[in-house]
Amino acid sequence: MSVGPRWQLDVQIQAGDFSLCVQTGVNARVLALFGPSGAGKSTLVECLARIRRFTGSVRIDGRPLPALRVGWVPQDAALFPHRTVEQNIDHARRPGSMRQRAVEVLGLTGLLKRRPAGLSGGEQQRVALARALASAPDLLLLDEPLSGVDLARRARAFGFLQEVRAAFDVPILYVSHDPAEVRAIADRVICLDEGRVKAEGTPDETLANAMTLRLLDRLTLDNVLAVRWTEGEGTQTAGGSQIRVPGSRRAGSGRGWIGARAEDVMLACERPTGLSARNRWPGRVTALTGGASGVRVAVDAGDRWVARVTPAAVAELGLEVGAEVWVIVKTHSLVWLPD
Amino acid sequence: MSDDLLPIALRTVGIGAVAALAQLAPAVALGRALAHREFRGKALVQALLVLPMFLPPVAVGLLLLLTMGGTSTVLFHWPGAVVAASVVAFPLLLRHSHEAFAAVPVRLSQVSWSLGVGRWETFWRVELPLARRGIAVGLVLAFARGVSEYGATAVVAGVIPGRTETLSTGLMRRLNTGDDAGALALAGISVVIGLAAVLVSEHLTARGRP
Repeated sequence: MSVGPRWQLDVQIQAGDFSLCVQTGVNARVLALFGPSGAGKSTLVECLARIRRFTGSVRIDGRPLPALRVGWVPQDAALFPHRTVEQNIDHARRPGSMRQRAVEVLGLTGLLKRRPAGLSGGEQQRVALARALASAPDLLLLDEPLSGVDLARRARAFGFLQEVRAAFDVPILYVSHDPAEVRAIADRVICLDEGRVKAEGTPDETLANAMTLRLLDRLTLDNVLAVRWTEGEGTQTAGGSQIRVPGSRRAGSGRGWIGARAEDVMLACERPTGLSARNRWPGRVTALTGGASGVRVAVDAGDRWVARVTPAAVAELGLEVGAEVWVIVKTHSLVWLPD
Repeated sequence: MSDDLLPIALRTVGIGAVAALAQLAPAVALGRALAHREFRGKALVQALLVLPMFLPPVAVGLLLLLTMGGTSTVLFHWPGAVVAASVVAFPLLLRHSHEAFAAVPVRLSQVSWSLGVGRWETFWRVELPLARRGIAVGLVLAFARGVSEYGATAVVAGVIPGRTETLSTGLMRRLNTGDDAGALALAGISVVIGLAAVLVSEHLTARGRP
């Protein structure tokens, strides 16, 4: 049984065609809410933030929701644009809130006099988190806190979240559709889809649920591949390619699934040399979709891979349907999915 | 320029300013409510509030005359001109206030409430500061509309030289009495005030753009 405060959730909403019904009780210091867009995750968070009415009741460690101070960090950070970072943080400051510690842990000391408009997505999220912590919350609601952070800075931003987890003894509801984030930060996971709890348990248990795997395929992992491994031959994809996978968790022989985000798949128009990336296969472009914000390129390299590149890269590499390319995937961009 | 032009100009500017300021609180309250609240009959309420802008000003004056009955301190005194200018210009300020509050993301208020900051305090610290530029533009334009008001003012306040005569009513009186030079002078003052108000509102609007 997990340690941590007891979460008693009984939240029901019926609004037109949408209905949300979450009835569960779990113990967790960090409870992750996992599921695809439209599953009802943000709606549930808004109920806990007390800005949306619902029927039922919520208790954290026996304390009813109205008695709790809630620190809500919405997806878009929602900083007050007319106020400085410092004024934002102090907006709902309460005495003894560890505000100063939050500023230090989140690395905001040098940003205090700046305005939100001049901050990156990751910095804005950190300020929103500090603002929530400065209100001395009994419950912290983090709604996809890394969604506005570009991929290059995501690892660093996640490091800040880990530090907050370690430094502040506050129950956290962490909303995400990234299994890697959920595994790394949560004690328990509630998997939500179409307004219903589909699975609940530890991250490994829940993400191993077959239903969750189907959700993963619809989420951020554009590339989900079946693989098998044997003692002597290493790991092979269903398409017959040899693939280097992270860690040595697979002994003997067996089958499993790996995933990678389209953003983590690179393309080259020539055979790449002098690269640290271990996985490289020749292939042919089968489709291009998207626009100015990013182009998704489907490549048949024995297995079907999807890469997300910039329009400038499409032009420079001469990517078009039928073009020959090399698919490059770093070993550590691959994540093991549950069997 | 005849001697009475300056008092007329000052009186008109005073009436326009008092009228604009008198509308401020109701326009802010109603603009906030219309921007972020849904209620039954909202469309009808909105229509009634902006109606004075689309009625003949003389008709507005007549309705005011009937509404106020024999209020001796208002009718045919300068406060009557303030009331007339307020009613006619109110939709302009309300519209700007409504749009200014509608442009403030409701998410910001929700975050503030969820963090334990009360609704009134959130209004003062988040909503009003973010809407203030739009409201200021509306205030300046409402002032300009009040200064240029003629029909309702003539009905409610009359055209009493030295007491209720404004730039517009004074201009009309001079045209009717053949004082073309005086009329032209008042028209010139009106142009200057109107142009200044529009320039200020444009400046405020431009400063508010990202």
